[in-house]
Amino acid sequence: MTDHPLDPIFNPRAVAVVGVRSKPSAGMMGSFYDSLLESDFQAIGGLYPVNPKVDEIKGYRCYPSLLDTPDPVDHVISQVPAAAVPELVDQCVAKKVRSIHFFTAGFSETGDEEMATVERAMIEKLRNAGIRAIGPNCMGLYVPSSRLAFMSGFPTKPGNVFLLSQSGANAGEIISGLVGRGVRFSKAISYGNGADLRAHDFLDYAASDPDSHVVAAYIEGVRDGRAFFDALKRCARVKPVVILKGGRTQSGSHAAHSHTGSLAGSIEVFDAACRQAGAARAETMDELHDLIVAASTSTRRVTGRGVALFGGGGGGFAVLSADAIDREGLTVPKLPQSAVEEMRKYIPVAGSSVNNPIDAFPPEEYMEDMLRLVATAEGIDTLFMSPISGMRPPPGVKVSDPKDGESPPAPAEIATRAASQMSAIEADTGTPVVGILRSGRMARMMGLDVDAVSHAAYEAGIGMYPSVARAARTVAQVLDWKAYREGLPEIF
Amino acid sequence: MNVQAVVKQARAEGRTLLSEVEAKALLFEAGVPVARTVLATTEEEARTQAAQVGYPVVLKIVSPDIAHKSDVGGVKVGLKDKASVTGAFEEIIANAKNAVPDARITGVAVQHMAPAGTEVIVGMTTDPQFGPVMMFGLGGIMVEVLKDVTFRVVPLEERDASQMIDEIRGKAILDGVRGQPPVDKGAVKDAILKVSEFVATNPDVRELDLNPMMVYEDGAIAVDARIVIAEPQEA
Repeated sequence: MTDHPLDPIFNPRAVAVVGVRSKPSAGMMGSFYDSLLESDFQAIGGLYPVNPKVDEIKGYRCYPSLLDTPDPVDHVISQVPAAAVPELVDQCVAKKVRSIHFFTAGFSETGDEEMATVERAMIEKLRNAGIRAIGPNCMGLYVPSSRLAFMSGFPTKPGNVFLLSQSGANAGEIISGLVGRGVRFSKAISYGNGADLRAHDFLDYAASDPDSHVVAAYIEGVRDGRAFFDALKRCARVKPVVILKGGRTQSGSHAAHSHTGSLAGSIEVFDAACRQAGAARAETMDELHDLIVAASTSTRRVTGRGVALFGGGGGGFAVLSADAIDREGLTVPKLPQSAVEEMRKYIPVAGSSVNNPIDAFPPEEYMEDMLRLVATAEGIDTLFMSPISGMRPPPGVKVSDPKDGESPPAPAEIATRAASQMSAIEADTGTPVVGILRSGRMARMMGLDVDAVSHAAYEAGIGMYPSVARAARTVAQVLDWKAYREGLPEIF
Repeated sequence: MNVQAVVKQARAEGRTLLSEVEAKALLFEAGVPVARTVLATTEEEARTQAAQVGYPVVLKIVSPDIAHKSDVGGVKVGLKDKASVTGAFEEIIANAKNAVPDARITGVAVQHMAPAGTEVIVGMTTDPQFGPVMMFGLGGIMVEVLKDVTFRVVPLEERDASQMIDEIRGKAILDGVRGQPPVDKGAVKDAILKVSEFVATNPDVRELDLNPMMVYEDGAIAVDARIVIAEPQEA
């Protein structure tokens, strides 16, 4: 908890879901009551469904009106139709709630001037009563520490990434995508039209929130560019901030306008503002995921362009990987002769490349020695490695031979072993290790569970990336990010 | 000359575009290096002023109704003496009246002609989302065809100005190609920061261009300057 004015919004004592659905619906969106039940919000606060048409939902009492619910109610989730919103706003004022989240859509984003006026009027009434609004047209809050969740299946364990998103579906995609890679969230907000609270309010909060170390944002348009820029500057000064801007193209900006009513400004100026503030900009959803992983793992510590690639996959894979690394302005330097000679001690020459990229498998007992040798070789700033090369069991344990009657290690055990090997190499050498793990056939053949390995690596402070190309792009972006942050406080 | 007075005068005349002479005078006061430019309303004045600013000189039409001076034959460059100034003055006025018969002619700007250097553009525009933003780019085709420009939100810090200069794709031209010496980036940086400060303290300014600004091995000077102020109802 902080003394920031928005803090109470993230820590409600009780939540009312008004207009709760009486029957299960087909869509994933809008099952707020179910999500809150699933995350067991009731264990820490009051949870009140409101719908005059039913008396009971899932065995719990359903209230006919917000005014009939017990006091206090701090946070209201509105699922009523737009036409019923003015009445609900009056009830919120009477009930003295602190915040309201409008899942309800059909306001300014429709382009209908009348509905935009209704939106302004309801926000003004709420503001006058000291009530803050999230939305309309959005999914609201996911705060694991307060057991708030807007979709089913979100982890209950809190993390240190703060997410603000103008789109609910994209918030869902960012959360699920990153969760698969081990990332956990402190708070996530989908804020839609941003009629009251918008990007700059949340950035300002994130800057001062001790639970949030990295900030991710999906933005379609900013209504108040100056306030946004000032808040971004304050936040990015002290924390890594990664922004994905939707509506960069003409087609995209038309779509953004009908989605959240966002007006397009000059994209060049938006990009420049991010750079000036010291924030990183992602071009795609994948880049946002990768940069968030990078900012919250040791990938953020990369300092130079020299990459050693270790990991097998064959000669062709090594060639394509070297191309991918070079394409991003990084290099795959030849290792010094002394290092090559030393490596020959570990590696049988036939069929193996003992230069960089290293397509070779030394006997297991030499594996870590060789990785340390490569990581500390002259010209090497970062070690890219696939855990497949470290997946062999310790000497004496045969996992691939069922005749021995030994059960193979569980995926979680393999994952932990891979993670600890990567972090040990990094700790011993001081060279950042960037993990590469391609999903699909290769991973399955090796008995690797990609999510489990990514998760274990993340927990050990190592970022895992789904391809060499994406890892290379991420490292290049982090280096560029650091370069233009020169003169700002060190946050990496 | 202060900004309020110039803005007031322009508004009284129903203009949002300041004259080149007005724009340069304000920028000069703000510490931005601009080629010395004075207004002449008669041939006689033009000759006297040419001698004062120093030959060679450039003469340009000054009219609130003519935005693109070269297009109407309103610019004469490389005038080396009294005689050529006399002829050029008459010709410019005649060309302007011919091209835009109803144009109000304020006079002719007399400017010392700066030697050729590396041409850059330092500009400011008002973005619908972010308000005043600074723009920097190389002059000529680099900006027109390649859109090789960088932006920063006003007000700028020193690091912002340095980064703007280093971010353009044609940066090598500033660093010196084919044996050319590098240009004085410090002078460009100073000009960017001075313009940023000027527009930050004068919210009436909506657009500003130093185009081109000549940059040399040592120093830089804006040869042309353009300032657009807000419509009175926006101010």
